[in-house]
Amino acid sequence: MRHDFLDKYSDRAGPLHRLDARVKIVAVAVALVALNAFRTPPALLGAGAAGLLLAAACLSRVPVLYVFRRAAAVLPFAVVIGSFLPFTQDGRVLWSAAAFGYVAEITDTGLRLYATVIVKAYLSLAYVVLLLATTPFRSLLKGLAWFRVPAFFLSLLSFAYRYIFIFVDEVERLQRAWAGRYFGRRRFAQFVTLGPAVGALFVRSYERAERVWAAMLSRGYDPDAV
Amino acid sequence: MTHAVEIRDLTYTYPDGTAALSGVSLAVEAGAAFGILGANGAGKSTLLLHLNGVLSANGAVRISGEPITKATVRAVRRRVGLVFQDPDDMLFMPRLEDDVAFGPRNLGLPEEEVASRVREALAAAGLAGQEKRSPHHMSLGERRRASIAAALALKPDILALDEPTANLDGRGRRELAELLCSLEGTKIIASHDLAFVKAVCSEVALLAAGKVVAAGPAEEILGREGLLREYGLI
Repeated sequence: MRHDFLDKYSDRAGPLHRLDARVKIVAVAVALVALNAFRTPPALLGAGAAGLLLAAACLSRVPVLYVFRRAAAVLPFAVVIGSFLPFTQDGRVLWSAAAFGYVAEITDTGLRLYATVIVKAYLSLAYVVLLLATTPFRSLLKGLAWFRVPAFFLSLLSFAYRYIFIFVDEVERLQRAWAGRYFGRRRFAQFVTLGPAVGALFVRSYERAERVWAAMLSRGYDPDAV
Repeated sequence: MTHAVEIRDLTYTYPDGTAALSGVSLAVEAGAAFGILGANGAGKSTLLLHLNGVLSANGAVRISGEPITKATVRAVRRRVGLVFQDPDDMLFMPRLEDDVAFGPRNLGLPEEEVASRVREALAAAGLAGQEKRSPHHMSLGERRRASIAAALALKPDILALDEPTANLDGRGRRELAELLCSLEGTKIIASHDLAFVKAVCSEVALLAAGKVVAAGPAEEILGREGLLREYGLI
């Protein structure tokens, strides 16, 4: 079973680990709001926030590279979702194309906005990764409970945390089963098998959810009491 | 004398039209260790889910003489502890103690009572002192015992286990058999592990395609090789 991600380093004994979870939650919340509220040029903002993060990571006895590598998970989403931004701003036109009577223009301000969004998304996640890497999940939930985060939301988080390990296991099993019978067909053919594999994962997760629900009911869980 | 569990003509069809149980009747005496034998897909798990009203049976199932209905289902769930086949379905908290405390807390017991029940249940399942471990760091054998502890913490009169030896190695099986024999109260064990059922149960019922095809003392039924072969158990 694989259980070395997400909070891989959270049981170490660095200075940030010893800090109360509530302090860290507030610090990260402040950092996220500040990072996302300021409309400074991306380079300056990025450098400032990254510097702060780097300092915190060095202090924390968590491998610095780990924090920055984990946070890269957000990049594909930020890059794809923000990809329309370069076309939306007025400014100096860097590139344009016309088709069917429409003109698409990439402007310098548009590109700058796009870069800002990517940098902000990346650094925001990096802060959260650092929080998770320095705080055991249980303490984090307790801290959130102290801030009156609704119990229902906390149990949702706790379920997500618990079952993500089982989900990853299931993905790995499927992957191995697939790799064991995959004899180097063409790339395109892989996508044809990927569809049913993802479908199987969905069905398995759905059935697991039903069984977990039955197990909860069996131990006196009262859905109306929440 | 009232039976711990009495099932009369229980029929259940899944929403997709699969007939899982058709006309099952059986009775389990209080304090007995009762085995429900059956090949894969015979309806064992479906039957167990009826014992505490997760699947509703409109009064076809009686626990200590009382039919399970909407009005009694909460009380019944205190008295019937269900142990699922996959421990991961029952263990979903960051720490073992919270998983075992889940049931008692749902009953609204005071925290001191919850803590003492957790301690007792873990000790009974051979997991004393492991309160702070997280279930996803535990071996399957340990998780299986943890899921039994989670059911025991409710202090049920009846403990029902679904395929308790699934995927367990030899030692895991032996330890589990010893554990179950040491527990008091009525036990219902659904399994196709003949050696295990023989070691633990005194009475058995053989289930096939949703019907009880044979029932009686474990010695007698487990000795009928032709019968066991016919229904896919050997």
